[in-house]
Amino acid sequence: MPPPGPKNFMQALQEGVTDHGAPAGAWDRFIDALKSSGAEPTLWVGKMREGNFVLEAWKRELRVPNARAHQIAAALAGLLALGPGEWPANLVDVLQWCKGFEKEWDAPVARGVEGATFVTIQRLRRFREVMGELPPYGSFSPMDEAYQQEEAIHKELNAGGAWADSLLVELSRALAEGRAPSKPGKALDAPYPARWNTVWVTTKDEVASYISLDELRDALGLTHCRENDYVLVFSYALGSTGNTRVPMAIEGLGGWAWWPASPGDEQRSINYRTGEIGPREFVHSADAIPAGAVRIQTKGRLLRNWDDSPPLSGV
Amino acid sequence: MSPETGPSQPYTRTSEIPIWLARLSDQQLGDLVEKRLQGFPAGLPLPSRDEEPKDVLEYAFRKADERLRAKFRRALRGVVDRLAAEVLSRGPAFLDDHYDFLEAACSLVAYTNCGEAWDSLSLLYNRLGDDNAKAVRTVILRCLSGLVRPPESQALDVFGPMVEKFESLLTDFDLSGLAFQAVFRYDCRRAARLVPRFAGALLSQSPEDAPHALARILSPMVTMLPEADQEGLVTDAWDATLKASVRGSTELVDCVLQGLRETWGIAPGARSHIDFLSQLRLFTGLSVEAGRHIKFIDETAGWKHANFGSSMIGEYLSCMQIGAVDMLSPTADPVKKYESPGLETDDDWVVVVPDTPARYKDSVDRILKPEPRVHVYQPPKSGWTTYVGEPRRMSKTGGASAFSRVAPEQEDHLMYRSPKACGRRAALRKGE
Repeated sequence: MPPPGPKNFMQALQEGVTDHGAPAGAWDRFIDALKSSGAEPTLWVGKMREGNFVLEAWKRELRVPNARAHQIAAALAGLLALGPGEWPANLVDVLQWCKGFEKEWDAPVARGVEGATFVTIQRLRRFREVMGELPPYGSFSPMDEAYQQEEAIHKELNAGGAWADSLLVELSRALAEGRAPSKPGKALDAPYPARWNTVWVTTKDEVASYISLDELRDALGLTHCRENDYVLVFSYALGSTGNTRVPMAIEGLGGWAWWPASPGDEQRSINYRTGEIGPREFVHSADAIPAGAVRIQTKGRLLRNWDDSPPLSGV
Repeated sequence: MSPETGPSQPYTRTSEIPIWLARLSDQQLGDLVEKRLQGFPAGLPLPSRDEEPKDVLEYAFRKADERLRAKFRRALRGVVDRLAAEVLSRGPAFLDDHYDFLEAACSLVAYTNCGEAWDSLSLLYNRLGDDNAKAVRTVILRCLSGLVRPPESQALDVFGPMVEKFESLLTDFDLSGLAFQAVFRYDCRRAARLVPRFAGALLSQSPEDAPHALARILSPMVTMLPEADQEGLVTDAWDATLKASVRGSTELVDCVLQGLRETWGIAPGARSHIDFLSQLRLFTGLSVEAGRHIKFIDETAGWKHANFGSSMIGEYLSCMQIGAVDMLSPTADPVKKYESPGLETDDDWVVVVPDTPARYKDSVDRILKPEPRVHVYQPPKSGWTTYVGEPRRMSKTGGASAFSRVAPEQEDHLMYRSPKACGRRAALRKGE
């Protein structure tokens, strides 16, 4: 008979929270809050089924040893001890913070990618928001100006030379600077802010067959890249293979469009339009990118949304 | 319907979202926008990884027709009005506690060019206290900066008073970029005259990065202007800089010079490089540090090396010689140093530029050598580098306008007819 104990990660997490002295009922309130707020999504996946994706993702994460749940539980218990009134209004933030625990999870090192060139696809719009220290690209600007700014950046990069190189450095530096979790008015900072610098990548070889940016976006399941968005595809090699890891459920909690692999399977993207399995997905810290290694593989505007019908071939 | 989840979703794909929003009433759309900006689904697709909740609203606005856009702006104004009302009743600390909402709302206001929200946003800014986080102040200013429009674009100049406040922020390093942008939107010529102040603010904090930062801020704005305005802008900026240089800030002049060079370097077509070189030539003529600015000229020309035509060479050489005026020794006699066995045509020109600053020589060679009709000759044991060829625009009678700035007696020291044309070539051939 196996020893009695938690059957899955969520149960382990719940026990850990209790062990770390969370107030009675705190866990239930946490789950209730997840369910009653926007953090429990009514999954909108177009042609796919609906479901409580986030909680499902947590429950399906069987690759995470339960022992690690206790590490996470310590920080989560501190959060719950604040009481519901002090929790952030938007519990998506809580889930975002949970991404920070990934560091302690020690996600598995990726295998079979030695010497690989990695690629990642990013919206230029995101850089404008991230690079707030670089107005006017980082400034709020009207739609038409934003469009022109994107075109100006496009021209700069095409022109080459020292200026384009410096711009590329700035863009690559901002590759992984996502939504900063610590903002004014927040009672808590993210527990592991360094881990916000996570870049999602795949290998260049695996996306070589996708001719258009729209096809690439579909294959990688990047549903947030919409029609007319200007996107950049970066490519680079990482210095050490140990820097590349396999993303896990917690990392995918920032959005609905991620589906964890079954235990033992490779983590691969999903084309949400066709349901086809796509390239392998990896994550690494932005700090792992060697200086000067980043190149722009391709760039341009998307012509359609992920759930639009693609044009007929030959038309 | 639940306020958090919004109305049911009568759409099956992303492209149908704008159609659905157009069917909502003003009240429903306002509620939806507010909830979405607060991070709730509000009936719209959940944010995915690397996406902000407001992003789908931006997409919907982008795809909307003018009618829906106007409706969207009304809804957004209502959201900001309600936010301002909350601040009035609860105090400015309310903004610190709802920073995410404020930032999302401001971003969407700017993106949709929702000038209707100006009054409430100005009110919010004026209500801010010293206790408010600087991030709150910055995000509101950033939004206001994005909304500023020229005074002639509306019947009543509602932006003027705020623009004056922006001007006063130009010396604040953190806000100077936003402030400059706001003034630029209001009146680009007025902003041009503020370039030295703006550059000074950048210099005070980061001397090495200041030129680059100046160009980075200026170049996208310049690109959006008609060409006539661009020319006025550079002229005004230059005039203001020259006036500022009277007070002796060489660093400031260099900063602006470098910034403008980068600005035009990345906006080809906005203004020809020849025109820009002319600006530099003017400045070079006035400068006591001609050598340094020749280097700038050289770098500017070299930047667009691929497009470097013979007319550019003429202009370039003109610039070089203006600089050479300052560097020529009063006792120098270039004629005596001249010796050239390679002259082939009857109408060659000999252009003499000093190689005293040896560091410029490689650049000069690099620029001149690719021109097939210019031959480079390096006389041995000479203090001069001699370029022999036929720069087409360089004739004493009508080519290089730069020579109008050179006294005739100086001209003879700067440019020489070929030995044959001067009656000296034959003498050389005879071994005299």
